[in-house]
Amino acid sequence: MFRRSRGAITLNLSEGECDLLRRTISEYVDLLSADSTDPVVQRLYPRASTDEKVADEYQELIGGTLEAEKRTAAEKVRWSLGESGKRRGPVAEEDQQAWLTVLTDIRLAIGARIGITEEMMLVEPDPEDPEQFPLAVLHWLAFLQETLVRSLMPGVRFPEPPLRSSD
Amino acid sequence: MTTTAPTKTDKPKSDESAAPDTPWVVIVWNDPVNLMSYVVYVFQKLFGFSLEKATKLMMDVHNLGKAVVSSGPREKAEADVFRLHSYGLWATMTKDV
Repeated sequence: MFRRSRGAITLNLSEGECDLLRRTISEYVDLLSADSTDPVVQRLYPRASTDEKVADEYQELIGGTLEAEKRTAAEKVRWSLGESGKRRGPVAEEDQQAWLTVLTDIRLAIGARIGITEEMMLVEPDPEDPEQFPLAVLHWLAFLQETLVRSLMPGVRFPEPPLRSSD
Repeated sequence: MTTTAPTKTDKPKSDESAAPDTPWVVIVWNDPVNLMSYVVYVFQKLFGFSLEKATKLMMDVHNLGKAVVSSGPREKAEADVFRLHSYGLWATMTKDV
């Protein structure tokens, strides 16, 4: 999980957690240039307007900028995670936002893939049930992201502890 | 949205309301994935809102399904939509009629 201590943000993950993230990020990067008829891809590149003309003009304007940004962020996170083994230590300031957006995108992708609802996010998935595995990953990623958001908002009091811990 | 939202402000920053009489608005829509705390963080980061204002907008998105987060000329709306999409929020722009 992410922690703030003495002004720095650290991230400690077990080898198993890192491997899960490496796999998930790699699947995510493959999605970035996938067919845009896939609802998962559509969620990663939302239409900018309900007005089709406005949305098309916006798309023309931005071109591949958003995809390039997502790829850069994914590369930073891969680098920050390391190629193998566990991960211990500080997260460079320029990598923190990349972690934030990549964790978001991965969660959006998994959520879109399994047709997530707010109700499903409230149910504790059984990690032993293979069918519930994506939901269990989604919950774990939510926990991980929550620890990062809280580390980025020092001085803010949150009403509840993070959802759950994998430790 | 899911899980927790912050409740208390530390140091409210400047709170600039969007200028009136401008033709484009940017709307953020509710989604079941993004964390409440994350949405508040993004609103503060991108728009410089106070914690109270960011939290109120986040709760509007959560409870009402959407909220207007910025307004202005088309170019500004396009830039804001882009930044929100970069952070994975579901945002659209529309002419404010």
